[in-house]
Amino acid sequence: MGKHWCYFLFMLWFSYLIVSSILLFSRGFLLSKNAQTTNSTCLSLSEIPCIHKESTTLSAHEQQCSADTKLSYVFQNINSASDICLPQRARVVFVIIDALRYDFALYDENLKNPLPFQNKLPVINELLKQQPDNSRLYKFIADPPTTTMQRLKALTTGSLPTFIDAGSNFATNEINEDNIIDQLLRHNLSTVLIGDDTWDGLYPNRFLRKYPYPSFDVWDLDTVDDGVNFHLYPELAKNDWSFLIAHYLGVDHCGHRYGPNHSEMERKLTEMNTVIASIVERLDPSTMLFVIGDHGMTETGNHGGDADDEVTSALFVYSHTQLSSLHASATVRQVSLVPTLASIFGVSIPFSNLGTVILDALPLLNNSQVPEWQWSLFHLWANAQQMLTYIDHYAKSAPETFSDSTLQSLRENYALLNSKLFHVSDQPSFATFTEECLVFLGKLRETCEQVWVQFDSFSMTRGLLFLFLSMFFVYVITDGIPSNRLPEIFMSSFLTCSYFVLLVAVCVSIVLYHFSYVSSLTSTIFFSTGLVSQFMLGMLVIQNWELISLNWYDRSKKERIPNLICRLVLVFHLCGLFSNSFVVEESSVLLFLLTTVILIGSLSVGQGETKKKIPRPKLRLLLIAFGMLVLVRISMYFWRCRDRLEQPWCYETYNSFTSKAETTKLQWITTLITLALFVTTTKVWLRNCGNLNGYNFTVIVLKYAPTVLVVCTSGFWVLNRLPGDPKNKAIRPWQANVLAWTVYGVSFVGILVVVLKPLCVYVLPKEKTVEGQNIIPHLFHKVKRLFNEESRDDVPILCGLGTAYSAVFVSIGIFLTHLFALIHGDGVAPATVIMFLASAFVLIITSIIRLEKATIMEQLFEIPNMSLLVWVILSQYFFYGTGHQPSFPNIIWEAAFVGTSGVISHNYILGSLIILNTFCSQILMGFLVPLLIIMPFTVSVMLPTSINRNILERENLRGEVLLYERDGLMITVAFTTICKYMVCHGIRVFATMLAATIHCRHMMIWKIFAPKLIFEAIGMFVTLVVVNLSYLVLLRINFKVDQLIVSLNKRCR
Amino acid sequence: MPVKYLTPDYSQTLRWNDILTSMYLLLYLSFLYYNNLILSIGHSDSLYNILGLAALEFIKYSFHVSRTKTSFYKHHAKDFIKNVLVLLLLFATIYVVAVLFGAPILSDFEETCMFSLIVTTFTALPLCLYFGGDNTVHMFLSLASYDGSDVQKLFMLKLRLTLFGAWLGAIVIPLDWNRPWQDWPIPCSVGAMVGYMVANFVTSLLQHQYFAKFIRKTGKYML
Ligand SMILES: [Zn+2]
Ligand SMILES: [Zn+2]
Repeated sequence: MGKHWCYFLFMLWFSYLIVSSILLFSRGFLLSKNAQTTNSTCLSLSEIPCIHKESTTLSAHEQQCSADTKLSYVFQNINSASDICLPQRARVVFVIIDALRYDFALYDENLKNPLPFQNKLPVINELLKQQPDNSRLYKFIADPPTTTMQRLKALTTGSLPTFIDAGSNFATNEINEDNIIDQLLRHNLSTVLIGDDTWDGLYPNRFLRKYPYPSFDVWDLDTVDDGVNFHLYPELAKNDWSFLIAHYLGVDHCGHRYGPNHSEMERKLTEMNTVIASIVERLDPSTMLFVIGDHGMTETGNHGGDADDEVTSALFVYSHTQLSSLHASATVRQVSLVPTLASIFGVSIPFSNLGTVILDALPLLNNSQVPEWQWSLFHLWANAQQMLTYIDHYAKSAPETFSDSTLQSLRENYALLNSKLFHVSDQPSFATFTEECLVFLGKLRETCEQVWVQFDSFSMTRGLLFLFLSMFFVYVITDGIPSNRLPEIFMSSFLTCSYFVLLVAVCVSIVLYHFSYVSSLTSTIFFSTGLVSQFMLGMLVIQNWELISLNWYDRSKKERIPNLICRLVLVFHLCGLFSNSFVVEESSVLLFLLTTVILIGSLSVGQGETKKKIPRPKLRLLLIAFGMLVLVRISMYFWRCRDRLEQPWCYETYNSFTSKAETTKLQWITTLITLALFVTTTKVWLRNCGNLNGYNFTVIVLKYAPTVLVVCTSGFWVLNRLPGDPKNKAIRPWQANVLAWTVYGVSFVGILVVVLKPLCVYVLPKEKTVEGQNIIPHLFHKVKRLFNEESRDDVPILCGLGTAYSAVFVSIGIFLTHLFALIHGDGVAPATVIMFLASAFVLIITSIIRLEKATIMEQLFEIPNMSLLVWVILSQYFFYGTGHQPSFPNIIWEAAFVGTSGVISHNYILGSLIILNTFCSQILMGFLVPLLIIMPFTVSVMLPTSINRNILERENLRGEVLLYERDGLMITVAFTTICKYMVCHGIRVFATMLAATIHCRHMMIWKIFAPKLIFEAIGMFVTLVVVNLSYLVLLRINFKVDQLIVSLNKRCR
Repeated sequence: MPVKYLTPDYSQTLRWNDILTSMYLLLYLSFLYYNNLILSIGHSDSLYNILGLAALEFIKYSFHVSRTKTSFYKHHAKDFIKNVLVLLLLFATIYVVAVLFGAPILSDFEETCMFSLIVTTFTALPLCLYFGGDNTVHMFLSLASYDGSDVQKLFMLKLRLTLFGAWLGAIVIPLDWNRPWQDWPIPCSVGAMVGYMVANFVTSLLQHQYFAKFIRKTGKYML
């Protein structure tokens, strides 16, 4: 096995170590609550045997005793309330208007100029006015995260959603906790679903009939709603269901697309008004109507967080029969819906419920024998029993969750209430008892809320330790061992041994798991492999310690101010992750640090120059740096605001002068001009490199593909802008999608071709040079002669060999940039171009700096840590620079519909589009890491005027041919650079992990630190994949160049 | 433009100037602090204060010239305009650099101008006075690696520490404490002043025989 593959194996091993430590940590940190699979059960009245007070024996006669007798018996034994189900009170039509914020449902006659979302649901107001006994409107408080799936889980199970679910809005998975729909099934009551297909994912095979519609295409305001309306009215006429779910998505999608302040919102809400009115018209006396919003929306129409706008939705209840008037409340929690529904249906309250029954939403039963308050008392007490049972059960299954004292006090509280229960004899005493009981239930819920997230400190510390140690060892190995010694170390039996030991560790874990000594297989594997890996890496460091310390000692003599500043920057960069305000403002912080490093770096060139004259190359370098900094500063206009509450001074430039989906003409023109300029400049660069000559397939792709890409991309945007109003159906969505898919296809094929046939080299046969006079003057100085001395006449001339390596990476970068431009949309597309150009500038600057400083060739192969730091900061900065923020509501979900809206709902494709969008900077910078090594040689050919002549003359720089001549050294340096790059990213992940650990009881943990950690971790995974791929691409190019030169040499002889 | 090398007699004046500078800056800063004037440091109201500080630089320089009868740089009449242009250029450059570092481009025009003015007063002005415009530009361009005479090194230290102070001041801006003094450009301006103060204190120490030796021996990063 060649050393190239040894390096690759080592990189894979290191990547695995990073991934496994992060996963190990997140297992402990993002621990969700344990779902309890136990179900509540109860006996319905018909199942209760008739027991008279006088006798305890059963007889055939007594089986037929009346329901009234049973009822009176039940109410006397209220202590077993949760075991008995009262008869069904009503059927329920359950209308969910997604993202119905509370103020959407309000009505204010005094309002002169209502906003688009105000006063659009007058029917609710009319019903409240005309039939105050039959209708109720509540403020309906959701628990964050306020995403639809989490809300639906809470609305059906009554439990608190867990954090880890927040990110997985893609793969809707079946609910295995006890829930209202399963309870209905158990009592032979059936449910019909119309609308959002999230329900179908959560509850497969539960519905009597279902009419699901895809929920993901948020640009489509009407398909789902029209479909729901189409099926709703026929269903209303039937009576074989007890629970009819109609989930409208139009309002939510309108929020996502246009925000609440748009005329479309007016249209959608008015539509909803009609729907409610016509349902009320058709409602039969035994059916109730619930209209709810699952969450609210922010001013920009998004949701997911815990801002007031997002958590307050509306609950409207209407029934033809009178509703109970006991214990009126104005604000209820969303979890309270489940026990209320259970009481209405006469089924037992789902096992994991943490809500309290809404007493004044229960319809009255026409039963004069039992007073109203007794019914309520019964439901309330059943609720209390269920919750206490749940907590007891949970505490047993996870003993660490609740402290003994908490449980003790809860039980005492319950016992106290239980004793008071029997003294409730009339309505006033019921009222006081209700108050106390509700306080108790609230306390139960809060207890759960507080301890819900329990951290597994064992996994967390192991994860932190393993990540730190492996990064430390790898850094010591790659930085400490001089690159001429690395190959022999890696060619030794070290890697084989390590992989063998890893295998043994995996086997041992499997055996342990098999004999059930350990409970979780993956955790054990992560732990055991991590342990042996640290051991092996540590051994390697110890073996070579002498070499390392000598090398470091030599280098420590050459400390200078730029290094000092770099360390300071690194420290700030990491320390910022521990402060919530710095995480919130990280975009500015990164801009600041990036500017610092670039300025210091370019100012530090040309030391020891004459005092009077400022050398011209230095001025030119400063000019380049200035241009790059201006570009980066411009990208500030594409920043997105994280949250208005967190960033009060945030001026949202990108979103403020546009409504959400549409871009202004100015933006549009800028975007097109930027893209056109981008295509031209990159083409000019490649042509000047000599990489666009000949009729090689790769060359043809490189010549024409970018133009095709730009044309298709702008075509797609034009088509997407046209159907602004939904009535315009001149252009079908698939026509636009074809264009988007062309872009995907062409860029994919382009990258594939460039990787498979990486040489954009044109072999000019000797004779042709004479006749092709017209192109030659242009090409001549770019043409590189082969270093074959013997037969001068037969030597062919090669165009573009001087940039054979860089051309491949540059063209991959170009294709990626086009791809990113498309999925970022026409508003943000210039940011992706800026990202590409800024990284190109940085490469040029760092190369010039290195060329200036190097005195011999070998020094060009040393990558200063500063260049690496700049590269890492660049990749972090452009996460923000392309309009992202590390928080879930700010994920750009729109990216998933580029070219897929209404056609594809395959989760992997949608998911990878979003990953491509969110982590575009990590992908681009990761892919271009090898350019850090290649670029000085490219610059020495392409921009020879901008550098000092010394090194050029001294070393006879011939561009990237030198890389081929020293390909052993190049591959080694590529390996160390990539490892260090992984370490640099890893340090950040480590810092976020540490910050999350330190702040695990911080108020902002779920809002700021945990999302940051998840984004950093996923960014790390993306980086790892991309960086490994880039190494393979480098190997591929090297192999092809080798083949070419060997074949040429053969031909020449 | 003659650059003369260290002669023992002006060293004394320079040193006293430095000590004086660090003292009056300390007094000025505490005056600002106790009268809550620090908040207005970014407004044009405090323009006169800055002009006063600039005048002090002039006074120190003329004092230095009159005491030692020599100067590192002879101001010719024909260079006057050039030096003023250099000062203006550096003022504009500092403005632009502040913008590049993330300051708003035009919305806080007054504040950014005041910041730029303060930094120019403490960095470019003394350099221009003592060494002339060309050398000033050169020193600015070789901030990260400079090799000059000992006096120039002293001034380089002042330049670096002032800029470093302004740079470091930016740390408090993002913090969510919602204090009025966190607004741009107050922390950076104060940072520049503190940096200049510290720099003068350090240079006065460095000019003392004993400390100079001590620091040169121990310091790896001889700034
Ligand atoms: Zn929703
Ligand atoms: Zn939504």
